[in-house]
This record gives sequence, structure tokens and C-alpha cells, in this order.
Amino acid sequence: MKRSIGNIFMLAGVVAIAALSGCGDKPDAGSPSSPTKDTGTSTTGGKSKRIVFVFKSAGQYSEVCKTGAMRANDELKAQGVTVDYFAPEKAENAKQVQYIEQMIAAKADAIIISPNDAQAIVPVLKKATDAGVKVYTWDSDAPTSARRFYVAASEDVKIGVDIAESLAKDLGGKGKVAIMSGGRGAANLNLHVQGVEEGLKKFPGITVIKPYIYNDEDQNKAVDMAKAAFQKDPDIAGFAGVNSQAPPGIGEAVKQLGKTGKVKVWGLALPSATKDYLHHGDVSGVMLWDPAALTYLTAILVNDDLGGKAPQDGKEYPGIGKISVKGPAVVMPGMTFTKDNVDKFNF
Amino acid sequence: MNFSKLKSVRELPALGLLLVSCLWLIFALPSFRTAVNLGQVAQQAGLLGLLVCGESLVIITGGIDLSVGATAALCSCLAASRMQAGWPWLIGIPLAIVAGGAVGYVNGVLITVRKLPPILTTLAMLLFLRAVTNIATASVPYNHIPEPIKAIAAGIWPFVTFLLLTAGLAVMMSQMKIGRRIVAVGASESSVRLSGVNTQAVLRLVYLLCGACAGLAGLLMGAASNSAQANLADGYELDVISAVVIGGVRLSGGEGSIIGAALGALIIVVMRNALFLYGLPTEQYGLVIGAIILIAAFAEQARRSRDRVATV
Amino acid sequence: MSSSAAVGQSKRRAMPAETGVFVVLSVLCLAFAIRFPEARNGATVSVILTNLAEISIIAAGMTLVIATGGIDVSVGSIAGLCGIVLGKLTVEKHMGLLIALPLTLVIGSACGWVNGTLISRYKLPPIIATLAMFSAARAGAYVLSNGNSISGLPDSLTNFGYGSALGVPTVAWLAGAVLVTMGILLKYSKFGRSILSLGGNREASFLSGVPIGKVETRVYVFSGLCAAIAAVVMTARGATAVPDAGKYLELRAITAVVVGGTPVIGGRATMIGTMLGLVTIGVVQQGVVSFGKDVMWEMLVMAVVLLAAVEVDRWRLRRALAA
Repeated sequence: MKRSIGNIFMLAGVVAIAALSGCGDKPDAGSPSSPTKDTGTSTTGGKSKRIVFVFKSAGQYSEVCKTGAMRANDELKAQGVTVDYFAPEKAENAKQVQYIEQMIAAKADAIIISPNDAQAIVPVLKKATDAGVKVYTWDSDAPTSARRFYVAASEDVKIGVDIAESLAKDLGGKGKVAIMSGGRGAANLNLHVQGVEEGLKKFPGITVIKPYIYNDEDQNKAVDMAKAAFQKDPDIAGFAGVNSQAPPGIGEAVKQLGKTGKVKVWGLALPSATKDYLHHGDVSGVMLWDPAALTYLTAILVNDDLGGKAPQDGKEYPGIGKISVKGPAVVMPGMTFTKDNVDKFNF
Repeated sequence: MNFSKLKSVRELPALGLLLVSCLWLIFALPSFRTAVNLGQVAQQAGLLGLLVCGESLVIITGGIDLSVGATAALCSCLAASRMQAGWPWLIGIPLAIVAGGAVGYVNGVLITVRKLPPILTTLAMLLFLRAVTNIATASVPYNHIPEPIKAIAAGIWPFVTFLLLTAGLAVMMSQMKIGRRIVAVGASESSVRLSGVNTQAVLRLVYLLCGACAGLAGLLMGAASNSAQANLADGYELDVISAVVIGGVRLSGGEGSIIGAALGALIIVVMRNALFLYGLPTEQYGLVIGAIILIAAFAEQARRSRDRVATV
Repeated sequence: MSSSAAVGQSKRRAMPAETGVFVVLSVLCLAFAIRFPEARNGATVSVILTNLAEISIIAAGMTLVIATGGIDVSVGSIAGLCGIVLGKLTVEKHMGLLIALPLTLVIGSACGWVNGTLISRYKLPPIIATLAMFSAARAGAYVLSNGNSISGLPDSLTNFGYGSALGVPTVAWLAGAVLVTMGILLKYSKFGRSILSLGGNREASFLSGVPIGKVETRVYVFSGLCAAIAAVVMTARGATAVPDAGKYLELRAITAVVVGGTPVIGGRATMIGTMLGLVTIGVVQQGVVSFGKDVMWEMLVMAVVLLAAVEVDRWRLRRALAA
């Protein structure tokens, strides 16, 4: 009796594994492309396409990007194109590699990635290209990879320089400045930091505090570390925060320590997350692009590219503005948010 | 006579380490002794300490709870979302505590009724809660926490809450029947059971208390940084367990005190703060904390072998 | 543990220890295969196997550790450290792989030896000793690398990461070889029997002449060695040594072992179960991606799978007891 139950389980398992692996010999041709689920459509028909975004990590920023991807999905559905996305729980390279391997197996047409590690992602992107999957980067680049183009919101170094210049102007060109970033491995964040450093070099009165502070993309940590930073160097005059957790975190610390107005904070963040601090005066201003628009634009550009139309310099997109093409980089215009204009935006 | 009695106080190494390091820092590091910095250390120690108090109860019974950080995140988001939806803040506090307690109770039931190993149960709970919280909140933080809650999470108040909780639990452990039973369950569950005590109920209560502490800690942590979010207290379970061990609680159960664990929490937070103020890059903190854990473990080892000699 | 003796007596009639994971895996595979007919091909299997390579190698060592009733949470950090060591040696010191690879494996084994010595000689609880190593090895990786990734690794290494033989990825072959070796070691060697007897009853095995200190130390050395091998695979696949590499590997490896039916209290272990547990993780990962769901669903499903496998295992034990 017990034996037979065990045997039934064994049998069921063998059948299941056979179903999973063995049925490869009567593959795609016979099976009708599954129409029920939008993400499940395969490329068998030749017409339907699948464009996949791979985000850095789950979080508020990615949530906004998702709305852009979904908007593109809705618009492109009529052409038989599906747009979907994956986000690792933590900003780690291994998970992104895994997603790409999985998407190669699932025969996606295009992969668009914001790599957590610009170097480490290169081989798997090459593997994807070799397998006939077109590869793009957006938001953060992998310069040495086989990507077809990189869609950027402003240039990574430039936005750092912009932050530095606004901050330096706010400070009157002198004082100590601390820099907070998210993690050490993220290429775009490192370029932002580099940009801030470069921008501040033009002001001999400004000194940059080392080591840089990293909040591991955790807002609670950003608050704690900013507070501690003010104890380590009580004479911090300015703070630059280059990842989306940094400015709200620094703003909260400034507010709690009663340093509002005495410390100038500039950085890169979602206006919605920084709104209260901009109005209260803890944060002077943040720069950003609309991540949803960036993601949407990327999907549209990639879809055009799949259809043989490369991005054109100076072409205008409604609600986004004129894009500029500089080598492999396609740049979308960025925006600056202060207390005067922040209420007009809802991302 | 007196000296040997002193030597058997389990909290002594932790207390000594804390006092020595604080004294050293006060003299050597001017930025440490400012009132503002000490206030921040107290606030962070209070928040971590609330988690540590609950965890130490569990570890004294010989169990372990890996889900405290995830419980804190769930409760923080749950309470913040309800309060943002208009519920009065006075309900927010019990809501977080009750939700945490409920999570802990489920852990306790799985461990006692289904007889699953604590490490496995709470590992599954950790995965489950993190996933649920992320999915339910779409990973978006809640930034509109009512002012009264923020007020009790600010400055010295988390530390005061932590001290009160420590004192309350310490009294429970030393003066009440349930406290002695918790220790006894950790020392030898079977003999306690044979003496007629419902050990399963004791264990369920302990996990419930641990969850409730985590719920309260989560609410305050979210309020302290004005951001209740799904990745709150991510990775804290390791800090919490380290604090408990540094405080002289025996990991296999039956030995240790709440006060010791509370001192462990203080040591961890003070060390972190000092390393930051000295300008050590954050990636190197692990070396120092790892070394402290080892020292604590060796102290425990020495104590145990001495105990064995003493009983022979 | 009173139950295990009874199981031993009625061994002939009892269901194998892998029943729990087998049932769960079968259900998952069936559901997956029915829901995604287009995924029923060799490519999917190949991706699942490739993505499991690092976890598999670490889980092989972890099975031995858990069989002694211990746990090793430091493997992910050791893997991170070894990856950086490998990168340093090959890129900055220009060493050939023939020297760099053995050195990397020695570093991993040495970390394991420190764990093992702390546990067996100084009697620290395994979770504490390996927790300290978890912090220290990760910090070591950061200090050595200054927090930066190391790229420009030798081509022979990266080619190994993406190569395949007989249609199966090389890294999957390697992972399989490690699993089988450890499995044979566990089941058929004197060392393996010592591990199980140590995990089952420490005092009794000491009294019956098992050198428990030596055996326990060696188990952690093997775990460290596995972490180093995993680091080589990880570095080859990423073509970069990253100080952050290997985070959460310990969690996934422990899950695989436990889902596979090896009880965390030690004394019993099944490498075949671990393999099935690993495939379960792989199927869940691929399933979640195919469904187009967030990674959070993977955690959710794994939590349920973990509990379900343990429940089926309990049911099996109860039946065995009743027999």
C-alpha cells in the first residue's frame, strides 16, 4: 500500500519531468501561441515581439519606470509588441545575469537593462547578442558591452556637474561638502559622483569630505548616516546626494537636526519623495528626468530600432522634448525641481 | 567571596566593554561626546534594542527568530498605510504591536504544533513577509506618518521606551513564574514538561512577545526616518542576534539575561557610530563587529568551562 | 530523534527521504509545463541548470555541514572574498590560472578551516563562528578590492563560464561533479558515516571512537572549498570579480538543502534530495520569470515550498512510525 503510493508519486514526477524536458521534439510549431497572457506570447508567429526591461532593483524609482513600460506596452500592443520588466529585490549583478539568461531561453526580441555592474554584465549581454537578442541599456550604461545604444537622461557625469554647480552657487562658492551615493558598484552613480567632484573643483573655496557615504539604497540608513555625518564634520555646509534615497534622507536629517537653511542640499531624486523637504527648505533642489517618460521613450526607440529605424538626433517626442544622439548615447532632456515647480509633477 | 560572586554576573563582560569603549571615546573623540551625537546613538540603540529585547527571550528558550526585521517592516508599513488612510494615530501603535504579535504567534504555532525547527520556520517567515510587504506596498514608502508618532520616535524617546521595556522584561524574568519557566524551557524542555508545565504555551508566548517587540520597533523605525517601507530593517536580524550574543546570552538557551542583551545592542550601536566618526569606510565595519562577536563567544566559552569545573 | 530509530527499523517499507521534495517538485513542474508549453524545451532546462551552478556547489558543502547538525552562513561572503582573490591574482599579479586557481581554493578552504577550528576546538556554536566569518570575509573582500570590481580576467576563465560540452553548460557539469562527489563521500566513505553519526549523536560517536573534532573541522573546510569553487564559477560567468558577489547565496543553499529533506538537526542527509531541492529553486525562479512576476513572488513561493516540503516529510515520518 505504502509502496504503491510512493510509486504513484515517482510516476507523477517522471511524467512531469518528461513533460518539462522531453517534449522538446515537438516544439513551437505545433503549439498555438498562448493568447491568454500578454507576457507569455512567444516569437513563433514572427509578428509578435517581446521587449523586456531589466531594472537595477525593486523600489520607488523602478515603480515609476514601470508605469512608463506599461504605457509603452498599451500603445504598442496593437503592433503585436509586449513590453514587460523584471526587478531584482536587491541591486545585485547576479540576479540580472540570471534574468538575461532566462530571457534568452524565452526568446525575447530585445533586452533593455540598467546594469548594476557595468563590467560584470558584459559577457551575458554578448551571449544574448550571439543568440539573436538585441540588447540596449537605459538609465545606466555598460560602455564596453554589445548594446546597440544607450538611452540616458542627461549624461551621467553632466548631471553630477549640474548638481555641483547649483550647490556651489547656493553656497556662495565656499564651504565643506559631503557626498552621499547608493552603492559602490553602480556605474551611473559613480559617474554622478565623479561629476560632482569635477564640478566642485572649479570652486577653490569648497572642500569635499572623504570617505563618501553610501546608503545602500536604504532610506532609513540615509537618514542615520546623514545625521552621523553632521556629527563627524559639524561644519558641513553643503550636501550632494546622487541616488534617489539620498536627498530625502539628507533632508530628513537636516530637518531633525534643525539645520534647515544652514545646510544646502542638492541632488538627484524623485520630486514626489522630496516634495515636503523642498517646501520646508531642507533641500534646495533636485534634478531628475521623468523616469516613466525615459522608460517609455526607450521602449519606443527600441521598438523603432527593431523595425530598422535608428534614433534620430533632434527628433521631438510629445511631452518629452527633443532627443539628442551623441555616438551610442541617446540623451533625453532633464529637469530641475525646486519648491516653485515641484507641485506640478506627480512622479 | 564577593569577588567570585561578581565574576559570575553574566552581563559583566558586556558592561565592561561598553564602559571602557564609551570612556575611551569620550576622551579621545570630541565629536562623540556632543549632546546631539549621544542623542543619536541613544535613538539608534533604542530602535535596535527593542528588537534585541524580543529576540533575547526567544534565544533564552533555545530558539531563534530570523524574521524580526521582516516583521518590523510589515508592521511599519501596515500601520503607516492605515494612518495615511486616515485612521487615528492612537490606533497605529496597538495595530503595529498586535500585528507583530500575530506574526510571532504564527511562528510559535508552527514551531510548537507543527514541530518545525525554529530556524526553518522563521526563515520561511522572513521570506514570506518580505515578499508580502514588497508586493502589497509596491515597494513605495509611506512618507506621511502622523506627528505624534514621529515625536515618540524622535530623540531620546525610543531609548526611554527601550529602557522601560528592558526593565519590564527583566522584572518578568527574575520575579515572575513565567520568567523562570522561559529560562527553564531553554535549559531543558523535557524536564520542564515532565514537571507539568505547558512548555508549548510558554514558547508560543515568547515568540508572540518577540513579534510584538518587532512590531513596535518597526513602527518607530519607520517614523524616525519618516519613511515606512518594505526594505526597512533589511539584514537587521544578524545585528540583533550579534547583540544578543555579545550580551552574554547562550545561543543554545537556558542562560542569559535581557539586560545583557540590551547592553549588547548598545555596544553595537556605539561601535558603529565610533567607526563612522573615525572616518572608517563602511565596508570595513564588518571586521570590527565580527571580532567583537568572536570575543563575546570566547568569553561565553570560558565561562562555560569554568562552570563545568565549578560543578565537578 | 526518537523517530529516526523507528524509521531505521522499518527502512524497507518507508518512503525515501526525498519524498517531500519530489512531490513538491513534481507538482511545480507539472504546473509549469502545462502553463507554459513553449518552455518545454532543452533551452529552458539548460538555463535552469546554468543559473543553479553556484548555489549547487555551495549546497553540496552545506549538506555536509547540516548533516553534522551545524550551519554555515559564511559561504556567500567566502565566495565573495575568493572571487576578489582570484581577480587580484590574475589581473594585478598577472599569475597564470594554474597558480591562481589553486591559491583561490586554498583561501576558501582556509576560511572554512578557521570556521571549523572555532567550532570543533573552541566549541563556538556554528551560527556564531560562521556569522563572524560572514562579516569578516565580506569586509576582507571590500578591503582587498577597495570596493571596486576587478575586470579584464583571462579569456580562458570567461570562456569556461560560457562554454558547454555535449550541449550542457560547462558550469553545470562542474556543479554536477561537485554534487556527485560530495554525495558519494557522504554515503560511501568512512568520513561520510562519521559525519552522520556525529550529527546523530555526538557523545555516542565520540565514545565509539569517531574523531569528532577532526571530522567537524574537515566538514567546514569542505564547505569553504565549495564556496571557493562557486566563486570561480561566479567570477567566470560574470567576467568580473565583484566584492558584493555571493550575497544571499547562503540563504538559497540552506533552503535547497532543507527543502531536499535533510533535517536541520543533523544525523541524516540526502544529496539526491539536495539536488531535487536545487532544481525546485530553479523551477520556481524560471516559473516566476515566465509568469512575468516580480522577484518578490519567488521569495513568496519559496517560503511556501519550504514549509510544504517539511510537511510532506513529517507525513512520511508519521506513516513510517505507524508501520
